Amino acid sequence: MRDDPPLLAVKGLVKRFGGLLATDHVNVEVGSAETHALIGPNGAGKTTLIAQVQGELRPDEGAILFNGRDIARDAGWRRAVGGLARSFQITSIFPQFTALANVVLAVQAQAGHSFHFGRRAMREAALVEPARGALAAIGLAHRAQSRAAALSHGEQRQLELAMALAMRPKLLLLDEPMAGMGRQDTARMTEILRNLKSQYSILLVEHDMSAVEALADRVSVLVSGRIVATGSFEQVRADAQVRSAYLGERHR
Amino acid sequence: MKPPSPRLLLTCGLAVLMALAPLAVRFTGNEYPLIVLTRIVILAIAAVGLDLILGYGGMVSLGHAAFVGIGAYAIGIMTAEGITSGFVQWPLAILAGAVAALTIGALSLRTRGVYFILVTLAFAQMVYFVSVGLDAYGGEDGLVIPTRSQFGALLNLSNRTTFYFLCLLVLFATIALVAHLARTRFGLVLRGAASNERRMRALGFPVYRYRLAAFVIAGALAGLAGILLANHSEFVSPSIMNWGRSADLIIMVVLGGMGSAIGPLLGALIFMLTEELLSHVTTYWQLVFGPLILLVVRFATSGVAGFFPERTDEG
Amino acid sequence: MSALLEVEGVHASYGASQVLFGVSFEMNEGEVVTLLGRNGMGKTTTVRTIMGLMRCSAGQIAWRGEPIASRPSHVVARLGLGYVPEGRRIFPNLSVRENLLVAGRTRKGGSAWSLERVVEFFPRLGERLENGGAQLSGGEQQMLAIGRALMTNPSLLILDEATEGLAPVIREEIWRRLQQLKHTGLSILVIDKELEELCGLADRHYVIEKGEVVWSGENHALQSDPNVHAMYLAV
Repeated sequence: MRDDPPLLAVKGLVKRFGGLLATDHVNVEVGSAETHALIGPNGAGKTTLIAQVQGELRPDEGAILFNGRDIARDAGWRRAVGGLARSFQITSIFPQFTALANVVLAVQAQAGHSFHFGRRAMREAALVEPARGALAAIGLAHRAQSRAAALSHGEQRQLELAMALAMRPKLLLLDEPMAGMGRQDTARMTEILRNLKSQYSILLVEHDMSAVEALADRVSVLVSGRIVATGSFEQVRADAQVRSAYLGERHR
Repeated sequence: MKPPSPRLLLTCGLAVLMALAPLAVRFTGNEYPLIVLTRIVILAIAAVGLDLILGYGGMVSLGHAAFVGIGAYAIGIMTAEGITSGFVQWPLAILAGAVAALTIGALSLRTRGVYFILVTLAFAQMVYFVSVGLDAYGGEDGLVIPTRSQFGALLNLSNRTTFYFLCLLVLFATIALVAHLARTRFGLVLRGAASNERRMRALGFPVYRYRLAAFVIAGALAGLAGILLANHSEFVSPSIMNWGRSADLIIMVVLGGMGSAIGPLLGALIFMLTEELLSHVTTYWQLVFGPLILLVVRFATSGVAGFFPERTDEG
Repeated sequence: MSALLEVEGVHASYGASQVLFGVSFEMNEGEVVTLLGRNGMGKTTTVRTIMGLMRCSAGQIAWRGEPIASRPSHVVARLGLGYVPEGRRIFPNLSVRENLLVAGRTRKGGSAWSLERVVEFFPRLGERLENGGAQLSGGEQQMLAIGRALMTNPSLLILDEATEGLAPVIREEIWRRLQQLKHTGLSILVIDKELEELCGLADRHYVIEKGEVVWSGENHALQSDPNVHAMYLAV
């Protein structure tokens, strides 16, 4: 697995906001079928990094190689069509549409252009069947007809994941999928992700260490915009710089 | 077969009522109500186009009346230049509306939020002042249109009843078109982008081009309304497209129900009939109307159409 | 006599996203207590809920026996809780002097905090009184934020990540100042990561994970229990 070129290779990424160096020459790689967790204290720049990989933010320097091609200047929507799916830290769905319609839109985005004026989208089997499939894979099939706004918070997070999966991505960018969930929902979501991880490459930002330990093949630690350690969960846990970032200067 | 939704019943009911209106006029012997109704129908057509971009698409365009004016002036100018055939005039006038919308939209849609509102207003004001400066075509005083669009033996637009039914047909065709579009892939993109643009981009939609297409469609429909307006009044002037008229259109859409194809007609009926009736009672009728709009916006955000729910597959 | 601050079974959410699932702890007059735990677990949310900046959807918060949950934040602040928020949040367009004076509140009895006394406490601020807030370094901004809270003459000082992102020298100075404040008898609630320093300053510790208190104990317990570090604090 390590001999294949990585699916995603971020090289020397730099992002400045005025005087603040939010992303400091970051290198990180995700191989095929690898789950790579990105952890670090608040304000470390994890979401900023995800936003640059996805395309919401343009980096000032550096390259983002996806399948060998530098996508750093591509528009965000193009990267999505090219196989990059992102879930957001704060749930971002279409509240007035049904759960099914939400996922249909995700399928539709990957089904060519949408300058179709003839048929009703929700009657097109080519859109609806894959959408139902994605909902079923996440365990939300029974809520397909519910308005997204009526779903519980945990179900909305699952819906967001279903939408990402419906994009048939090569790489999943998951930004704190467990955010706002209590213990039970977190365990459920961890289980769902555990069952999926062999089919996708995943770059996962999370604070919940039990989830990271259960899911990550590799872990990178981001502190003040810099990657200070990369390795297995155990290696990273024992690393001196990581310990001081989490426990204070004296705990190296 | 499911029973028809309240929204569908309302739409059909209105269609029937309005088709019967000329009969009532025949009874009273007074043509004035028919003239008022025709004007309502014409403005409703422009409002339906606006509803596509505003109600479904979430784009607050404060310059929609400009496209009505462009369609109307196209008729006025062509007639003044001797082109009176409707077969030539109408396609060209609609095209004028569409091209204007393409130009203004291409520039405006690069902006967001408050800036978009102001940019559309600015462009509309530009069009308004251009028409004021058109001395060759009447400038501020406007231009009389001596003959209505000619369709030979096919259609005589000078007949008030014929003209009314033509406008009514165009209106309900437009309503059916927009209601259908909203459920297509195209419509779903527009509505999704209005709801959560960030999410749409993350899914892989190039939102700009779909919004521009919708803007052009709305501009073409407004141009069509302008054509009918020019024929109806037999007169065009810049006042058709001062920004107050754009605001009127927005009021009709909001009052009637944003994101509903029948809403604009309801809004046009309520707005213009109220204006008609109240203005006979007092010149301060707007003092009554203003608070009414506030109440609707505050308590009935889906407008009047919101009281007639419809069933859609997407929620 | 009731505790100074009692937090019982508090729940709070950001919209639909629930963050606190029943947080309970208490503080007595004159104590220094810490809230520990990794990021995203609910420490800042707890403190914001106490200050009334977030709605407490369930549970009780009592200040000197009086319920204050869901009271407006300006009311809570006037009761004597001084808040130094994460990220400092000083007013960049006001001078140091103005930042301090805006917060000032005269207090009956006791040795009150005044502009003079704050400047004496943080000499660096005295050198920069007329400078704009945005011109200060991170450390100076932090001192200004603490000084501003002191100007309200609080009975409880709440500090959220007061040393984050600061150079070691500045951090040490701030920890020294906090020790001095402790000796004036001020009650302090601290959120921070510097375990060593916290053990030197605080009396008791609470660990928050996933919106609940999962561990509590005194200094020696925290220092001697290896599991606490591994499970809740480190990676």
